[in-house]
Amino acid sequence: MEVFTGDGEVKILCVSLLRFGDLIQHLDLVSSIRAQNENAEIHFLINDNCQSIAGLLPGTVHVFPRQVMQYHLVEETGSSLSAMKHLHEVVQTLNAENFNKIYNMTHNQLSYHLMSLLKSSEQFGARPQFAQDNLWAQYLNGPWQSSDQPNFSLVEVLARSMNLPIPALHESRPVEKIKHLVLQVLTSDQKKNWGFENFKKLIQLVRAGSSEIKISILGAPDEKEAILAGFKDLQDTAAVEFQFLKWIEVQSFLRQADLLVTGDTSILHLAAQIGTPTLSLFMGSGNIYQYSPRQKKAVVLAAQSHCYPCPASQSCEQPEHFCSQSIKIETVYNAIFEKRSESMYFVASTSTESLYFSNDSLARHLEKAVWQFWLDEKIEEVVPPYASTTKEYLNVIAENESLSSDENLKEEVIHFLRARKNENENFQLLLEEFADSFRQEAAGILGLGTESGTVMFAPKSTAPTLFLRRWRAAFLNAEYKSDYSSQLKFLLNAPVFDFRFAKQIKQATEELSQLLEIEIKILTIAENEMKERSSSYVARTGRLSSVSAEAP
Amino acid sequence: MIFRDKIPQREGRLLCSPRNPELEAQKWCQSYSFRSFQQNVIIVGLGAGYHVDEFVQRNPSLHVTVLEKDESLIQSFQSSKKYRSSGLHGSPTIIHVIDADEFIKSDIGLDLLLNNDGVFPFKPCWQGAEKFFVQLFLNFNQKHQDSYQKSRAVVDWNSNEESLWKCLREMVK
Repeated sequence: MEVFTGDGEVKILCVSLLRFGDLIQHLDLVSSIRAQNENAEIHFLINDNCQSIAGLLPGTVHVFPRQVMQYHLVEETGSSLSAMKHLHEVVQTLNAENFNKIYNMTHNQLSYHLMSLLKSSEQFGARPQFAQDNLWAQYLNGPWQSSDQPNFSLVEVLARSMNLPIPALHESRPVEKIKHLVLQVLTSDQKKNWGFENFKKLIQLVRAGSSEIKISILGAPDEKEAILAGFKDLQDTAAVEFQFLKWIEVQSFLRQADLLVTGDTSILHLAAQIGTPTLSLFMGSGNIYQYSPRQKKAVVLAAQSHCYPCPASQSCEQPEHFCSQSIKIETVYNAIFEKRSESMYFVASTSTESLYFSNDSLARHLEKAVWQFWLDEKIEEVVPPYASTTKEYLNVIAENESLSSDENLKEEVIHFLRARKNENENFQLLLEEFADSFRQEAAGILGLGTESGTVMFAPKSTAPTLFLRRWRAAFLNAEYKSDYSSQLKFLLNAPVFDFRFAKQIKQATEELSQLLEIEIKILTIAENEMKERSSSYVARTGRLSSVSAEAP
Repeated sequence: MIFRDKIPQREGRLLCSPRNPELEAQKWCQSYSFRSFQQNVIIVGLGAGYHVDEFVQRNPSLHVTVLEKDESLIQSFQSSKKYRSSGLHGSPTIIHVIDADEFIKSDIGLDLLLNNDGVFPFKPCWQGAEKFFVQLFLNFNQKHQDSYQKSRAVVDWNSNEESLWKCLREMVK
């Protein structure tokens, strides 16, 4: 990795105080920062347990001695004053650098407090008053965290919350035929592992199909003992080779691979960044919506167990590892050898009920476009932004090779757009009914006054909760699969109802209404555009759409 | 200080195992695991010195400072065969401490307080002077509120003390 020290005019510090995987994903944000500050001198602040990756970082690296400080704080033989001294020295060293900008990519309380100690002209990311930066910051603190299926990955929402553009997905190197298959068999967490037995059976299947494919089992040096024990019956055969590589070695090794099969690991994100095709198996706390690889044509298989995804802080409490059992060996095998065309998962659902998750899916692009439009606060700009967002959305469709030639697929897309529009319109009706009911019926139940626009609420009343629960059930029954309504559903489930909740419900209802309005407009334009592109539609109906992409 | 069969006693209480002090020292050393960042460590209590000898042999790369209350124990240890240059940093530094609170305010005490990577208590040799050694140990590991309050003024935290603590609290959650 080339270290660019810049001309020294602008100094930027990127704070990334989590683990390897997060740090590698944050490099996408650093690329965006670099694009905005071409000649800047970039520095990193990383945890001491990530020092081995320092050679991959494009800038000057400062180490946050977290392990040292934790030792001094927790162990009887450590000294609390030493912990203070270490932290104080880090802060002094960093402040002596006189950074112009500091980007905190770590969304946690520790970095939040650390930012209050660091001095710079501009600061971005988690810190005091962060939520006032923009709607994205509020979205990151609220709906993104409470939703199991957020529309944006952590990197994407972090980028926008720090006023950076959403980084483009990485390209995947085209591979005609798989000659070298790499299996990363362990993750950092037992519950995210697919298991040695599954991998062994997968190797047998691959070997049965072809003896020419080179299969490498990849691990870190400190995983060597566990991996060799897990594959002891394969050690003396020529079926596989074992590679236990340091960080500095793994990048060049992955460049030679035709496909990496892995769980939710830091190696996955590294492979995605350097263009190595990936097939990842997400289970346990590995949430596909938050942490899937940021790579085009990446194939992600997600667990289908009832408990997936689970909190990262808990160990698996199930009697069996349902996650690994739900991802079948045959499915992984098929996914390895299926042709990696964009149409393969094009209209795939992004719900966890579908095994396949795709960054390229139509529904995901649509919801992201809507959210991005709303969070960027462009709701008041009527025609051009809608048109440009829609064009961008349609470009994604147009880039799809199959869509330019496959009439059936075009029909399928039109059907999707139309069905989605109907769904939205029905939901809009439901929402209007709720808003009306909330204003009138609820006012009676709650003892609220609605006159002159001033609403008085009964404090801490529990009586309205039945009313709210009923509506929550109605929204759930609507089976509207998006996180547009997650905030409203969350509020309707409140244990007590008071003025604060009432205000938030009113706000959430308005926001939801705006999101639906944006999506319906995009869908209308997209449907008309697709009809124009579809020769079979024109032939069948004998007319072109009368609404262009620039129409409201 | 009374030595009976080379085992020191304080107020009639033995300062190490009379049967197998070497084994006791080995077990004490085994009870601690060391981190790669540790360079300068403190042992609180010298006693008969078996544990110090074992510690230095096991960790030759560490610079060891031993704090002891009784001068006669120090003299006895320094004149014994056990006191030899077995570590990379040579013999352990042994400091005679008279008052636990005054010591922490001295130049040597302050330097040790701010530049140690761990403080290890050998409690068997605290017999008969428990109060002194407990205070000395707490002055260095700073885990007690009173000890921290006594030492906090030794560093200029640039008015950031509260924010620094907020960060540190997050690390132990």
